[in-house]
Amino acid sequence: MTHEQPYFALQSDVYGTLQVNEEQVFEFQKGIIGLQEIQRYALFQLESTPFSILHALDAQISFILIPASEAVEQYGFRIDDETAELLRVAHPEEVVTMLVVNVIEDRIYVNLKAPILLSPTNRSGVQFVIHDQELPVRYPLSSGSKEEITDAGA
Amino acid sequence: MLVLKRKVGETIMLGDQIEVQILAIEGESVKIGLTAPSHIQILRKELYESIRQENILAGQPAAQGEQLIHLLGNLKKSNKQD
Repeated sequence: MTHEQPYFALQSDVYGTLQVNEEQVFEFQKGIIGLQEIQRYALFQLESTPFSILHALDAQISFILIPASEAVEQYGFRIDDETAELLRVAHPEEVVTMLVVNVIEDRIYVNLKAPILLSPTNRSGVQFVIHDQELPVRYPLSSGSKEEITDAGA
Repeated sequence: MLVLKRKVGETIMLGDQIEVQILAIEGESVKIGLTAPSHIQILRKELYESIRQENILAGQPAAQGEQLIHLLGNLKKSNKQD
């Protein structure tokens, strides 16, 4: 039997058993800041929410991510050459920008200073630190910080 | 801690690939040039610490799966209703 098993099970303390497809595995060569030694993560979309889970394959560490476009308006930054090289991307359009979510006492915050950049094509990822702007590490995602802006114009 | 004395323009090697060069001394500040492979994260320690702490907190969610997903789902609903 040489048939390759496309799925494997990941045991998560928080989410139980998760079925991982190889397509969902991202390599973080630099790790995530403070967790440098953990370099392989699997990405899961949470059904009927804009959130995804980025779960370490070899440790009980998992992050909740939200696409930056779903959370904040007018969020943009320049990626340096080293980061593009690390992600193995040639164009900014190839990069998906996600924000790390922090749930503290039932309130939801996002880290605007250090987003997670993903290349779905290369299945590579990096936590990028934005140096050219003053941005908060903990920004409240109040119920509809984005909607408030659109509602104001309505 | 290893302590070395270096003059402006002089360099220190950390392993084979990381170079630390003293570029200038301006009053109380020392200007340092760093060269390292792209997988090495270089950050001021204050910033490193604030991001590290936020990551550690985010990386080990206090709530369990169902509860957490419920909470995240609610956020979306409350957005939609407003």
